[in-house]
Amino acid sequence: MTVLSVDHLEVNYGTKAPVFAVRNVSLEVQHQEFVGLVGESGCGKSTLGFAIARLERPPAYIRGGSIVINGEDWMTMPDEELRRHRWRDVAIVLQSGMNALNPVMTIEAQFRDVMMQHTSLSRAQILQRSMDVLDMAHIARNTLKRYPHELSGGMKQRVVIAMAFLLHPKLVILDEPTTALDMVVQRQIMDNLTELRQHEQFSVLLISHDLGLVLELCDRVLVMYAGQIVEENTTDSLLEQAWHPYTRALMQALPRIGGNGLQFGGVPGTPPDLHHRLQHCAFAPRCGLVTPECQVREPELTDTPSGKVRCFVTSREVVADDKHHSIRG
Amino acid sequence: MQNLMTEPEGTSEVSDLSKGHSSTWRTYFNILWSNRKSRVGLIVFSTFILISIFGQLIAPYSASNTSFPTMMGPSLQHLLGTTQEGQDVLSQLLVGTGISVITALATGLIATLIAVFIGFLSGYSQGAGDDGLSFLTNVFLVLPALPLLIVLASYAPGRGSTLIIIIVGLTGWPWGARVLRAQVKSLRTRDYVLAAKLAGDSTMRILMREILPNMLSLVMAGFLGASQYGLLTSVGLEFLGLGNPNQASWGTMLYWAQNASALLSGQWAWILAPGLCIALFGMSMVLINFGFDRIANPRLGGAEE
Amino acid sequence: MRFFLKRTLLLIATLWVAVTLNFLIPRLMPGNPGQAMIAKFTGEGHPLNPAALHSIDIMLGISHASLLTQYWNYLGEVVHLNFGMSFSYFPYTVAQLIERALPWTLGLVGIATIISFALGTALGVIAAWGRNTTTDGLLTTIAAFLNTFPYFWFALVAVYIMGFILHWFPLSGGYTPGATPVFSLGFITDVIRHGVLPALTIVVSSVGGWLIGMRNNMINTLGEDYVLLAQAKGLKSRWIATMYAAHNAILPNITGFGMALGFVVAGSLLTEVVFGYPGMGNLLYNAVINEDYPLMQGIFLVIVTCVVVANFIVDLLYVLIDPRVRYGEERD
Repeated sequence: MTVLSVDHLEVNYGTKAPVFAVRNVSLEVQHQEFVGLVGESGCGKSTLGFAIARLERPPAYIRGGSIVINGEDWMTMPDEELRRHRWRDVAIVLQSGMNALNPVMTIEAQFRDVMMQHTSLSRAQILQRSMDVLDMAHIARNTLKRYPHELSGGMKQRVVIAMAFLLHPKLVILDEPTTALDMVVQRQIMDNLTELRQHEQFSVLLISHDLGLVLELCDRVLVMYAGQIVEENTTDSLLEQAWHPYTRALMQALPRIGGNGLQFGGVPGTPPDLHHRLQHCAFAPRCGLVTPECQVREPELTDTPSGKVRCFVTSREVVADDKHHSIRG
Repeated sequence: MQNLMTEPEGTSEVSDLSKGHSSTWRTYFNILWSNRKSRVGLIVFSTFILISIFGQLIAPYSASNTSFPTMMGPSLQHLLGTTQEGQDVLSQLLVGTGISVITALATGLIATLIAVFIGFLSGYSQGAGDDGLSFLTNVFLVLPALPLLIVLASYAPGRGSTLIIIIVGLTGWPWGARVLRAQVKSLRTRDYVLAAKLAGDSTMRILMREILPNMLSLVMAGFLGASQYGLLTSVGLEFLGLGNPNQASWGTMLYWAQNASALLSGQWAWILAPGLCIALFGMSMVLINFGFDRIANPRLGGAEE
Repeated sequence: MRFFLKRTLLLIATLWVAVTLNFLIPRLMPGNPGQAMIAKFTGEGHPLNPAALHSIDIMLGISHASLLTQYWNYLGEVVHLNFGMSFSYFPYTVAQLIERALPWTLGLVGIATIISFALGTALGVIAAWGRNTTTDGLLTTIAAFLNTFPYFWFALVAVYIMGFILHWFPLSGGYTPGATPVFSLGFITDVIRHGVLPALTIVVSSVGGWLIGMRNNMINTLGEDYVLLAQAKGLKSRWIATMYAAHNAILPNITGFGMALGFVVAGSLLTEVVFGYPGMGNLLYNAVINEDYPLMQGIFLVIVTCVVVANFIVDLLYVLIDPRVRYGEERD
């Protein structure tokens, strides 16, 4: 069953000299599937996440495409109906919970207003559910009485994650949930999310610049570059072979614990200016496998054994591989 | 030899500094000019400055000429009518603009200088010094200025715009000092300030070279705000008769108009004109400040503007 | 608690500064206002009794006692609200005159300021919620424009149009001359009729400041993550605008209230002069015209006290709506 289905989504910033931030993105998230969306900052991944939740704010606007969540069209739905679907169908956890909680309301009140908005539960039932989600996240129940400024940064983020599960959402969008938190808290949150899978039935779209994190938590990975999906792959296959040169570079850059201890690398170069419609492969200027063809045309997404790739060069490897397989078979 | 070595260095530094400043000003001007509101503000403001300078020349009569019929309504000879002493209201308005504009800007200047001094000192020092100064700022922020000014002006020997400029200027600084202090506090922990400190630069040098240039828009906004406060407060004092009643200015015009019950005898132009001038000049400074606000706080503006 | 102590200290310090300025100004200015006053009294044919002479000495300083002794005596008198004799309203004392005028000003300025603050804050929320729309543009432009006029100028225009031409309201005064100030429906209606124009003037002149302040705070708040998250939670717009955005945006506006109060009071005093309203502003004006220094200084002290106490009350209210202060965190 498909929980989220995005088709040919286009998001621009501004109208006069628009930035084409999200370019023709299609993706699907299945029931109870954890999908990761990785890319460097500015690649459009957060813009895409916000657009999916229909939280895009001026100057960002959706220029075209469709977003279907749980069988309902979120693009054409009237505002009032959209509002009633929010948090029930899609809950969102923002980059660092520092500021995501209202400073002048207790945690309990912030849990309660969302429950009152979407359910007809009694106050006692609401309190019970509030305590349940805190229990699931291993947060002390008396935290409900606290104001945000009384909690640490990591605690606030865990509270926000607990809040996301109040209404048993179909999809949880996590936008850089652990950035700006220290390693110990990061680990707690990751373990918590894994554990939550046993209590609740939900899908995740995890947006992160940290491929390591995504590989650890997600079943499938989408790699985004310059506003486009350049590779789609299952985590298991990706660990064996990445198809897009950019993904390969990202994999190389992963910190590894090896003979030389921790090694960090990066992908040299900078992404293209998205003020213009590109007439070439967006990654070409930084690509080691670049061919003349890459500089005159943009590649389409083509199938790989375990997903899709947007590359002229490596898609031929797929074909060669297939032939190789079929000859062997 | 040593002199030869150091001299070019010194001069190049000075020219660098002046170049840096003039380009900052040009950038500011460009930003202000590109904003519709502050462009209107700049134009109105400049118009008032021109009237201040050339008011005497463009006035149809001498402001102190009392030979006209008294208490006349607007007519072709006297577009805004005449006073109870037989002076031409329009001429008084044009000549009085200079005094009022100078009073506003001079009080703004005094208030801003004090605000910069206190704000910088308080923001850059820590502990007791900062506590004391911000406490002082808060005391003068809460203390209602006008009654104090009235007492001061009543006791002072003589009346005149110099007195008003000084006492209003002395009470107009706390708001600016508060804003600047907060900004200095946030700037002083920035990397480039820390770098300068590590390089052994003196506090004065850091304040003038590293911090002040980054606060120019805030200081300018503070100056315009203080000038507007100065304008309204000085006009209020003059309206109460605490200015020099024999010197034409917007405030003293209103004082005489009120004394002569101008409105009740149908002399609406005599009241309307100075009031509009006060509002327009004040508005021009507010409009310019929209632009400075936008430099200091980009969120306030429209993204597509 | 720390917040409360700090505010109390500020209250006391501000009063002390006002009292001390009041003591120093007549003594530091050239000339001798005390001697001048005695001369005036004698000239007007009011021979002064020793008690009156004593009070002039304490308020304005004519004796040759050391400044410190004078200061000590002065503080003693001020604490007992003994501000001496009025020159222009002989034989009334300053305290008697202030006692009569103060309720008028407290009523007028208090009510007008509360209305203005509430109205300005509400309009500021509306402007920010629809930012960059026509409503927003119109509201902020009008607000900025209203804010640049002197209060007393509005008062003049209001008197002219609504009093003189349209005869909707009386031209001046706090009540119809000759009416007996008793607690009756007729008298109260009369007072309200006289109060409408001055109050309207104060509201119109001051509402713009609150509006713009609230709008700017609110726009900053609307950019916060918690407002975005509230939207994601599917809460109703009205709830988000009030509980999430406005509640947070009003906090700095309340701090601003304290700072702007002095300015509003100053404008209101001038408004009273135009309307001949029987309050502190008019009394102050008459004191200035008649060079009645003891009265002027008494009024100054009482106005400062009122403003400072009003500020203190607002600070206490602030504690009620900002949990961060309630739980001991600092606010600046």
